[in-house]
Amino acid sequence: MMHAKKPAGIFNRVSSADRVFDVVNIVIMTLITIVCVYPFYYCIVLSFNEGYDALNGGIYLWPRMFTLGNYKIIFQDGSMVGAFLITLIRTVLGTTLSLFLTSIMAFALIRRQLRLRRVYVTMGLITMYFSGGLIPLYLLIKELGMVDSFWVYIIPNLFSFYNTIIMMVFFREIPSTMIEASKIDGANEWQVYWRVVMPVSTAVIATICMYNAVYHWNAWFDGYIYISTPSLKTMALLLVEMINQGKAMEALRTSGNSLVLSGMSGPTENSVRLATMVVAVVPIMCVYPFCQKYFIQGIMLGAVKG
Amino acid sequence: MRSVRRRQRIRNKSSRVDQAILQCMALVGVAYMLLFYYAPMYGVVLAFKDYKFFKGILGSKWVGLANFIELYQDISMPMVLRNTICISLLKILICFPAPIIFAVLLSELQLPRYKRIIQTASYFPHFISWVIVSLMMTYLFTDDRSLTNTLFRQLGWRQESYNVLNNENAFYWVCVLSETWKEIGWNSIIFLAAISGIDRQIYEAATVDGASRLQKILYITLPNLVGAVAIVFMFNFAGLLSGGGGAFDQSYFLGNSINYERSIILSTYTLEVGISLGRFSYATAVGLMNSVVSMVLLLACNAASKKFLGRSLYIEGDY
Repeated sequence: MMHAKKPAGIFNRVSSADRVFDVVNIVIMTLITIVCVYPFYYCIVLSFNEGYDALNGGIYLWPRMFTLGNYKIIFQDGSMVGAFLITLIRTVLGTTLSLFLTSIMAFALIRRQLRLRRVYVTMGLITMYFSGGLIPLYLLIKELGMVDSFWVYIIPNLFSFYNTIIMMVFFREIPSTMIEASKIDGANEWQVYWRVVMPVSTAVIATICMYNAVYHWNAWFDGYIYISTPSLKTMALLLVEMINQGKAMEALRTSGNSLVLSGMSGPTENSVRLATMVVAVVPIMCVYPFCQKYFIQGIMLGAVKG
Repeated sequence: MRSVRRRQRIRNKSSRVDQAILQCMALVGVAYMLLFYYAPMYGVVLAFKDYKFFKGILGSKWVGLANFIELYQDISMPMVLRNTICISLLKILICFPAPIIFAVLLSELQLPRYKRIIQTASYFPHFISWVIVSLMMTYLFTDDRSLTNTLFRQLGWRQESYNVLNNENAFYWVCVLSETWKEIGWNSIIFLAAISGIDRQIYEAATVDGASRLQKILYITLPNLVGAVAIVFMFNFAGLLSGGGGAFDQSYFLGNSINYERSIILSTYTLEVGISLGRFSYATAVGLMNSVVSMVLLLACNAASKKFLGRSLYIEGDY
């Protein structure tokens, strides 16, 4: 984040204490980096290893018996592919719709000529600090007939006032001359929003989309509460079910037995689960480094005004 | 003269059209908030009723404070509150300062390329969900075949496998350490931003005056972070009854029947009595108690913030 370089002259005059500090610092930072990344790397390695062989342990850096078998099982299993698609549709649709709703609201609220503007803003601020809680929301969604329907993923998550405020802060920074010029050219407010404001707001759009997309990709609780049809389950929800199954198994199992497995091969329950995890994480892992500068900006916008 | 009036009329008409467009744009969001935020707020009356599903919210009987009396007498409540508050406080003690230290150390790093790599890597855990993190912990620490258990067996340190989640005394620490791991990078962003806002000339002047690295951190960097630190601290403190960030997922995924007495917190308890046992009214009462206490804490922190920092914690004023 900081690109300010110290003048080269200072480097030449580093005291030995400072050099020790530098070395220690680099070591600490390297350790933190490894600790952050290694657990998932370990899971990737295991997911590419033969299932029974992996149970013997001792695999740390790369697969001992490389196989794609675990992934083959996932991609041949209709429910996994289905869950992947549901998660993908949920993420894309949820992110797009909520960007639309948030941005039109934010745009309307920065226009001073909007009547009742203050009332709307106050209403929004109140939603940030009060909520009815889980049970009333559950009853409402039941009343609306969204239980066990795909829309329960999308509609209750369409709008948050916090994101609206981030957008408003950004929209305010757009030079008003740009908007005035387009008004003089005869643009109406919709055209101002669509052709002037949105095209110059890619940074904040990316921030909001990033937040929403990560939320949707990882969300499991709504599915857990509202969804029972297997074909509507998201990937996160399938993983939750795996955890719950695992807990039930753990309660039955007597611990301490560690027989050495030999002669058996093929995928195990564990190795397939690991592969599922990797499939669930890799899309995020590939996207977030590229959005880094945007979400940092978003946090700072939130922090400055929040 | 006439043309002026005509132009005026056109402008009036276009401003009316604009007003209508803007109202439409705003009212979509307002209608949404009414339905999904304000309508459930009315549902809070459930806390004062004996909810029966076939009677609906309106038809159910009023019972006054019966649900709150029940809450007061609930024998699980002391345990639930103890867990929630202990986990919150431990998180304030450990998860809260960790990103500050990380940010300071990172900002002292002289290698810009490497700094970027570290930053990116440290954000990574924030983006994976607790579902995945808890599964990863199974493969790393807890399972009979996990990394640590097989490693210790091979090294001959310990033959029987050890599952940290089956040790209820360790649960708080599992929560605190995993939370620190997950959010240290992400939560450091705000502090890094504050550090990058410090005038570099101050550091250069200090260097000329012969200040060491540590002195510069102690006397320049940290004092400049006080504002950001205080604000983040107060937000953490206001969330005392939430158990800190990620607490619900931690309690839900890492909790099991063996560590139950240490892993159950207010939010998972509400879920348990509300959804699983179907005691909607009671769960709403617990939820209401939670939000009232949180609100009071937030207001108190805000008052403190106004007094000591001269700024309000939450968003108010001209939006």
